[in-house]
Amino acid sequence: MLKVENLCAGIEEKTILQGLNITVNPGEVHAIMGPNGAGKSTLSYVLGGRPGYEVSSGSAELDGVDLLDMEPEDRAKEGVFLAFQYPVEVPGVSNMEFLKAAVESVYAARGWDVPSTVDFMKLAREACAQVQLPLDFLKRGVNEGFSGGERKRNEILQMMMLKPKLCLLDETDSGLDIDALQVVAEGVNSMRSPDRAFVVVTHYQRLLDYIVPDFVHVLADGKIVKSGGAELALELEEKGYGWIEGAA
Amino acid sequence: MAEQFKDSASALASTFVPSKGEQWLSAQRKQGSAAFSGAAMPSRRIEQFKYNNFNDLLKQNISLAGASDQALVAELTAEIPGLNAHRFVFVDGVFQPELSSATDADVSATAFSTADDAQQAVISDLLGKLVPEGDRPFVALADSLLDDGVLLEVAAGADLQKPVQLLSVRTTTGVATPRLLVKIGDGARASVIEQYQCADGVQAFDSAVSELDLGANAELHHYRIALGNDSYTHIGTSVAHQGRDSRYRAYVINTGGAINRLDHVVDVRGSGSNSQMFGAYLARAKQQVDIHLCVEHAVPNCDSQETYRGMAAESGKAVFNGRIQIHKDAQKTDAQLSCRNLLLSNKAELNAKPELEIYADDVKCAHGATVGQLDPESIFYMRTRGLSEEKARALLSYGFINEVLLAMPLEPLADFLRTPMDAFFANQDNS
Repeated sequence: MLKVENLCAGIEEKTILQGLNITVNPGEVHAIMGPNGAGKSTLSYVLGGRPGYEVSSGSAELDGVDLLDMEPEDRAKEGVFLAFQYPVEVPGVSNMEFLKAAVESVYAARGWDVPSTVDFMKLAREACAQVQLPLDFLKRGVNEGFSGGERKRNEILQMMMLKPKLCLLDETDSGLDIDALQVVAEGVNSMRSPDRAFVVVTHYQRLLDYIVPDFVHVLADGKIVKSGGAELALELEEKGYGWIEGAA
Repeated sequence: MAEQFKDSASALASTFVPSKGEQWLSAQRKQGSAAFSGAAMPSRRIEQFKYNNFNDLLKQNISLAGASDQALVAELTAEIPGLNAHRFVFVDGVFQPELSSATDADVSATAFSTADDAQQAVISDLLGKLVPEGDRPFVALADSLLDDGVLLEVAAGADLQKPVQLLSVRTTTGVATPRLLVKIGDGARASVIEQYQCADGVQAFDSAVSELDLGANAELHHYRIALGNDSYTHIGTSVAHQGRDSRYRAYVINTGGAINRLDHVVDVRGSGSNSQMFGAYLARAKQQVDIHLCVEHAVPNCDSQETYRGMAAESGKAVFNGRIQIHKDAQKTDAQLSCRNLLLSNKAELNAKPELEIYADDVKCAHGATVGQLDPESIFYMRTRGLSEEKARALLSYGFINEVLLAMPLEPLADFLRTPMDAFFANQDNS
């Protein structure tokens, strides 16, 4: 599904990713771990299409389609979803208005029926219940006055509504208390399916107790330096990143 | 150039015959003519007009509004769904009884053109009384060409369940001088919508004046809405006069306009009063919008909050001048002014100027004015959810202004305003 080859990218002349390779197949969950500054967020941003990030070489394809030349909205329409580490507040635009605009755009692009207002409301209410946000959150400004945990749950709510092929979760666990972490993880787990893949970027092993990955990769100095199964995360938790960096 | 405007308007006033022929306001007209003759015309050298460009108006020969275009009347006076208001409609400056609704015991509306002798005496007595001294060329002009208007009286103690809508529409070129007098009796509560609109492409000019008097412990929600377009010049003056313990809420919307200006005076004359003003002003294309707000705190123990949002896109020009004057007796005043602006193109211009003048020593005052651009992080966030950059920008701009609409208790009116707002944000060329 996702094939990243020899990706070199950075921001403002500074190369951060230095030849990164990863292949993610449908149905798989990959965790990307690593110390601060390893390039974890850069990878999320480059795949999401954040302006300002320059790709100097390499490729990233989703089902054979080159992602790197696409505008962020076109990536979303291809089925990429980036859950932000710091979801943005958009005062004055209700969650409902925002979600509806997003659903209309993405569904139309993917050739799905755009739900009627009534059906849309029903879907939105169900998703709201699943991430345990009160219904009045739909009427509130996007992330306006939301706590850290509420923002992350709102990201998962959007993900559920948009039904992406590839979900990129950028440090979704940062700033979450254990209850919110469980809600977020349950949301993610409920969406796991044979035709959807997840790339979960995280600094801590904690999230992986709840979202059990098929593969764990360690990112250091802009490259994947070690890959393994779920047990690798536990090893990292025990030994720290110094162990890998020292070995690499 | 200014002479063309001034001479033609003065000539018009000297031969002016009101549409219904009533002579009882001739003393006011004479006074207006004299004031207008003596007034300096707008120019960049005059502080209150410094940021405006009145050249297009000042080189015009002013004429009276001609016969109305009936086909446009129906379109412009369509009812706002769900609003369910008492309605009083003016077309090209003249009251239209057949488009207006009856009132009930708690609220009476008297058009100048249909006033009886007793009502004429009341109107004559009130007209112009609340407008503060000072050089006001457009009030003088409106006085000199004073034609029709309405006196709205809300009985003491009444709690109006339905809002009252004064709708003034323009379907033809020339000048109109819609006039509004509002008296809110002691302890009464009311919502009054003062709304101005013009058909697209019609080069109409309004010099509109409204005076609103709040009795002791009265509460008025004043919606003052001027929806402009590229051809409409609307210059309004609105004065609210607050009695003891009164509550005034203003929701001011100025969109578009060749010139769309409001001089808004809130004259706090009764202690224990509260004033809250919300406003939005938006310009695109070559439009000019301007809000000159002046809050006069003359008495102790009052508070006021002002929340304004402005936006200039394309080659639009927006001005906000928010002046709060705290007179020496106005101890314990708490006044807070916030004005945030979005500048969306390099060709647009935005002037935001808060002014505090404080002569009392025991007061709390704060003001803030910012001019910024749309947040790139927010745009990226929205694009990752499948919205085009243009849609993201439009939605963010809408959200910025929507915060003012969300403050409006009259939701059907806020919904009605979202349509012209959406159109305003769409398809902008800010290159």
